[in-house]
Amino acid sequence: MRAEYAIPGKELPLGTVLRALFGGALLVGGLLLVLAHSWADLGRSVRVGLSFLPLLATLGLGFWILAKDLRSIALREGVALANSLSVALALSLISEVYNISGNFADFALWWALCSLPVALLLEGAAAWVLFQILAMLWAWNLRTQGWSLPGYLGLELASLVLCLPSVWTEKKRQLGTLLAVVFFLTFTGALGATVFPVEGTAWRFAAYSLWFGIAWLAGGLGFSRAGGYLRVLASLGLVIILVFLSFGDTWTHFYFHGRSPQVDNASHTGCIVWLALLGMALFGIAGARLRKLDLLAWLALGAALLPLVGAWLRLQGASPLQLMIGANLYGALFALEALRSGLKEMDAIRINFGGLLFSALVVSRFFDSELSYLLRGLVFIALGLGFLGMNVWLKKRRSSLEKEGSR
Amino acid sequence: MNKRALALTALVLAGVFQLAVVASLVWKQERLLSSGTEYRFRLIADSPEALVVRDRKVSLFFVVEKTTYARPARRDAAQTEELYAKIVQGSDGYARIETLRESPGAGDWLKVECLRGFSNNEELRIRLPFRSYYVSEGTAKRLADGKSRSETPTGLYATVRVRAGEGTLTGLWTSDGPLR
Repeated sequence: MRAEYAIPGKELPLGTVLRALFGGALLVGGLLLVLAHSWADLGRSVRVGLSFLPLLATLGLGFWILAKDLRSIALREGVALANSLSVALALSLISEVYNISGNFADFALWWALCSLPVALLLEGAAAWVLFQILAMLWAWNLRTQGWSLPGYLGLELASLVLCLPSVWTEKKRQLGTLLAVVFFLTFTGALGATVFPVEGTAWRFAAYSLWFGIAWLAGGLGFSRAGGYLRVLASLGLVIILVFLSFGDTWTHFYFHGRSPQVDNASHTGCIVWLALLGMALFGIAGARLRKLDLLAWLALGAALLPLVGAWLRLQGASPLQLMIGANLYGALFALEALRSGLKEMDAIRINFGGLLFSALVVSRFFDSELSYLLRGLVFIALGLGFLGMNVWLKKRRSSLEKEGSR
Repeated sequence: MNKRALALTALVLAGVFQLAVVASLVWKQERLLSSGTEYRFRLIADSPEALVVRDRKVSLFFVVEKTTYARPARRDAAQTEELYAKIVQGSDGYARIETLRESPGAGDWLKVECLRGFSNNEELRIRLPFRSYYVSEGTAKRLADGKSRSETPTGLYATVRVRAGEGTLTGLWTSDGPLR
């Protein structure tokens, strides 16, 4: 805001901005409280009319911004967010006037649906983030019905299709990063809404590992900044999944079917979710192939398929110990390849991912093995020295590369 | 059509959508108020002091929600379900639920929620779609302080208008009159 409203050559003092914001918030809050005090004394039609006012006002402001083609980011963000909140206010006030006892899922859905178009037209990132959170909360509120994800995916698809044009343009690259990170986090949350009520644990692992694998692939598709963030988040997700799979206990109850009466519906849902994600993965592979799919990307996809293969092997009679050993070997291979390719290409994300995964696997084995404290301590020291040594090596390598470049 | 005109048209459409969503709520409630049949639902609380009040919101628990009802055939007990309750007026002047069905029939029916944890394969308990009622700030304070208008009020009920499976709360009453 300081940058937006500052007079050229004269910086607007921070205190002035804060006083303006604080004063404005108090003024609006005070007016709302005065209105709330006499709200019950007003007639029904007056209260209904007043409920529409903020919505009409923000729509009017939005029309003015677009008609004048005002480019102020602060103004556009503010009006888009105010419009979204006005939708929530209008729905809440009407519910209060008529004593409607609705449910949060419906409220969140209509709030999200109503606010999205205006948010995108005004290019309001904050309102879009609010939409993403609402869509996720909606999916979570419907989780017991088992079918929240198809609807959620529909919402997300609409959101992405509508906002992609602005994300793709060069000037919105920074916004693209925000959108990618928010999308990753909210989708990860919403995925849980569908897979956690499903009885078979295998579906949860299969869906999440596939999603993280997709995100890893998407991260390598050439969005320099957003892609980096996506790969960091996806690699963290993959580390968590692989560490869980490296424990024998995880494989003991690793099935696609549970024992509840809803198992048929739930398994059906799990299967559809998984297939939808697989479709996204195939789409990702097709895109990634255009940019040369390396061994690490294939390993990420392999990790994504690991729970599915493991569950199938479990049904064929493989023991939890065999599967645990397999998962550990795969995890170690994945980590070492990440380290190797990362060091070769000086890619900090790969190096950190490989190091994190490898040490997480080693540390995890301490929980289910009978090693002495001395041996455990020595391995910890070795791992710690490995990380520190890697940093020193990376720094030297960078400086030598910079020297070569300057010559 | 240039880019600006296109954006303005899109905004107008988005605005109409927003207003229509809110207006449809108003329209639905007004239709219920004008043409619904009015019933009195007795509350479990027998005096205003027994009401649960938070801010301006009074939580409502009805006598019909304490009763168990026969479960309609072919309904899975594990499912969260919504059923339609046939509302009739009892001999005491208060509404009672005659039967539960999966779809409304002739007469006045209201969509109700089946309470999980209070259901088995034969019987179930229901929750009416009226969870709370807003009163004025002064009334809420009096109720919260346990100082109602009357010294000896008896019987509390809510008036509801019902039509085609839907219902709207119109008032909360003591023997002395409405709580506003």
